[in-house]
Amino acid sequence: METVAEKKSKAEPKLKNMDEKIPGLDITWQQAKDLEWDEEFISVIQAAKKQFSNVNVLNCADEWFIIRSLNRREYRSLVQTQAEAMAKEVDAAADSANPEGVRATLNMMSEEAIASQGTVYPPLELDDIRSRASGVATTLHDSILAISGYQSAPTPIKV
Amino acid sequence: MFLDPRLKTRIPELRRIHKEIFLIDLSNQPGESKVSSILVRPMTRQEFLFLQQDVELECDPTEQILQSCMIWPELDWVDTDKNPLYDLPCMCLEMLSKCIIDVSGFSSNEEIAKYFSDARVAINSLDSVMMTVITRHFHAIKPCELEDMTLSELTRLFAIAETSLEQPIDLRMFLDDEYAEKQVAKEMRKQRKQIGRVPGKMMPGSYRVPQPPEGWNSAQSME
Repeated sequence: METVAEKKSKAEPKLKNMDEKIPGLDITWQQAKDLEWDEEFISVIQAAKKQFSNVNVLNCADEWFIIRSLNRREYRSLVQTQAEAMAKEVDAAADSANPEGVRATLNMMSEEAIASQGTVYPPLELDDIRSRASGVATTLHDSILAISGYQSAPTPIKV
Repeated sequence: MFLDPRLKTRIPELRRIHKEIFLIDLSNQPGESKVSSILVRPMTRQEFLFLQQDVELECDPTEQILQSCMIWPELDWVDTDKNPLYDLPCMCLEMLSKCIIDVSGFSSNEEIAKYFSDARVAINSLDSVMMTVITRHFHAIKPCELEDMTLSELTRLFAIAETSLEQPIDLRMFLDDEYAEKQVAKEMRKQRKQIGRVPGKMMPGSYRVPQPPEGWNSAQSME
């Protein structure tokens, strides 16, 4: 038979110690609250950290993004896809009066492709990126590449 | 630092092949990779010139640098699915190739000056003097051929080559530091004498009126 205290604890949600770290994350519940992260977003971050080795959270244009590093294989594949697209565009631009404009467009496409691949949440298709503020793609692209390197440069030792 | 046990046998072997090798420890770096450390060699001047051309054409030479200069472990650069370096975050390969460029030294004047300075110091050793005298006397022998000779063979050639010098090599210069210093000072004095600038000796036009002591005032002393 259940005691009164047991009944009460079942009825009320368990209170969190706000200074405790969130399981699997490097921040406390209080810090998450200050950042205005809800439970759903926290659980998405936890799931992303289980799936990928290097996950970061980024705020850009009043929106939270979960990004991850790209490995060399993914990066190479993206670069090759872009190179093929570029070859087609170069052919198309042969008659263009504005080759610099074509190049700028291709750079933007490259940024968008990397931003799309490296963003875990929200899932971003190219159209989703293009409908957001103009600097979002560049910020995501730069941040994804910044977390895709060593934290400290390796030091060669003469042997 | 963690040293892969397989490296303990490979380092001596690879050093004999490539002369100068560097170990890069990746064991403490984040990212999932089966590669805990790599061995690289510096780029040659020709490879560095190719790299400059690649950069001028906005090509990415990263993988080519690693493929050429990474000497251990041996990795599959054709089928990238079998290459564990491709599991690393993408910019890590750029950082590794930068390490190779840095140890090669060609991109920095400071590094070239450092290598040159070390080489200048080394050339004053008896070993280097012996090599210089031999190559000057025996024009047909290339410096790289001397590397394959034993000390006995080298000293025999050295003795023959020395006969062509105006005076024999003073071996004491390499064995007795105090004697060497005295000889160097003596030589310097001799050189100064030849150009007519002996310190302490009065030369025409070299006399200068000494400055008065501090606080001395000529006006006061006249009163």
